[in-house]
Amino acid sequence: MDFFELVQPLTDKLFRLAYSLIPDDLQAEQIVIDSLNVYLLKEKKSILASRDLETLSNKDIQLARRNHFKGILAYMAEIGVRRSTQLSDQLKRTRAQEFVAFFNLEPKVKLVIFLRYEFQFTVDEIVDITSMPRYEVIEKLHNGRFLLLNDMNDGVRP
Amino acid sequence: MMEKTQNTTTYISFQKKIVSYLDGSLSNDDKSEFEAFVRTHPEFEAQIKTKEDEISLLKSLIPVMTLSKESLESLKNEMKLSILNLLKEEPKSFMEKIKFSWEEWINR
Repeated sequence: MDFFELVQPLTDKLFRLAYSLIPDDLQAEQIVIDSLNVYLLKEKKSILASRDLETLSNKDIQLARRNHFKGILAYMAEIGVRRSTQLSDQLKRTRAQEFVAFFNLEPKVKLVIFLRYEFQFTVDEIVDITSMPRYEVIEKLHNGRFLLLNDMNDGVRP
Repeated sequence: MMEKTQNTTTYISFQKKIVSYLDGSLSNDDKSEFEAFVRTHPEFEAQIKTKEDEISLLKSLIPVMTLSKESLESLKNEMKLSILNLLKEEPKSFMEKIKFSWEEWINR
């Protein structure tokens, strides 16, 4: 098994997070590639040092995959949030028709909500991935939850 | 009277911790304390269930987009190319240099 085989099952998940930050197929794909590229450049030494994947047990392979996943997500969090902020005007014009409440959230809130409720990361793992302080992660989770549920309740009201 | 007020305060403080418990943001000590409280207050489980339902509802408000099979394959190919290009080991000898160039040419 080589590095590509190790990380390729993550492709769909990486795309989903990227798309949640920027609801545009091409932009989201570009974020996936850019995040992977930065991860490869920054972590090349450690990746090459641990390349002997043939000797790993299934459990260790899962663990290695999860670690690489979190590593790539850390760069995606940075790149995706920055690009989402830069493209906010353009995104307003081409706003998605579905999941409007979610796409209206600020990028960091979307990121934290997605990591917690879609990928099931714990708050501590989200702190590691996003490099945000713990209180900020908790605050963004709280705000996101409040805004999403409130928006839905408003929609239901006559 | 004082005991009743204290019990109500404890009850409310644990009520406030339900979401944090479900979010996994409680410290280990707080989590153990919370679970111990729930064990002694079975009626509390109904409130946890309500919050769990709220979280399920929340999950349905999050977009889960998937790529078409073709786009997924194309993205995987781009990732493969990045890995091939960026994880290349530097050749240590002249023979390795030739070997790497040969492999690169074959993989074109």
